Amino acid sequence: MMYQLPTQDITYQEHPVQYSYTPSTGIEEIDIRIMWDSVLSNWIKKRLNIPFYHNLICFINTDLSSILSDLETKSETLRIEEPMIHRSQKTISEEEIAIEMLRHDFIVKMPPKKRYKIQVHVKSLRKGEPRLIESNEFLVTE
Amino acid sequence: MKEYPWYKVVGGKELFQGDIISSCPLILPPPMIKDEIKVDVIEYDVIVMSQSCDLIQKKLSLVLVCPIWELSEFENKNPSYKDPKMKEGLRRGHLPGYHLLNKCEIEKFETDYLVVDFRSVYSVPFDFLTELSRKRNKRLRLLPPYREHLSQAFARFFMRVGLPIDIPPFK
Repeated sequence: MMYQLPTQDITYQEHPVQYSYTPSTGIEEIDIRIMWDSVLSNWIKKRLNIPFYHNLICFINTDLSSILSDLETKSETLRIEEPMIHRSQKTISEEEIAIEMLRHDFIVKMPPKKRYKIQVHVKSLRKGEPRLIESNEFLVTE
Repeated sequence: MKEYPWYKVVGGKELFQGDIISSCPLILPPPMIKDEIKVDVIEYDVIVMSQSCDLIQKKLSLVLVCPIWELSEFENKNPSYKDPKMKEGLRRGHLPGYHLLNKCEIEKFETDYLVVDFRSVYSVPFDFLTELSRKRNKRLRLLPPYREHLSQAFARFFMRVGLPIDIPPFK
């Protein structure tokens, strides 16, 4: 089973997706590559939203903030209300996030809320047996 | 988007994926099993990861749960996450192993943003967890499509494959 790259749904002739992902590598490296793939994918999507005349914009003396304000990257979690970035501040770019994530150790080992010991009397010790489940049709509604 | 709330408060012992159980005790077995043993018990706030259909049909004897943390606790443990860029990475789903859930603003059930830790997965006996849920009375339930999004993030984390020997790069 292989990790489904988030960039694979992007096809754009002028900007072919090039990534160095290989299926055989260490988990830590995969994690870093997943982060980069995710960042790259969002960046490419953002590029795709820029109209063709965008290259001409550099020749025009204009305030880009008013034109590009709607080019924010769309992600699946974008609708989480965001107090982390104040509206008055500049939106954090994908590149900035990636650099920051690679600078820090992003794994957090959280301790349990509570830890205690209990005395247990072992009643029996037996080998587990497979539990057979019959499939049938059902519908989950809530 | 009031019509798509993230959470609702539920009661009873019927479990669904996305149910949040507070202070769920988890038993850590010792390396040797004898007649009388002392075992460590740890408690986490957990979110149910097993599929709702399996839970309703009682097709599981063990329920998969993952610990959850308030984002503020997470930040205190690893101050890197105090940086908005790290939090943004978390929010945008760039960090495998963690998944960010929205704040809950339901009265008496308010929470900060919640971080689900996919690296610590526990299984809890089904009967034990349903009884615990019943005793806890009211609890929060993550609602669709956010719980499917959580499930997808877990699948994406779990399906990673690391191989010991790399194919040398072509030059």
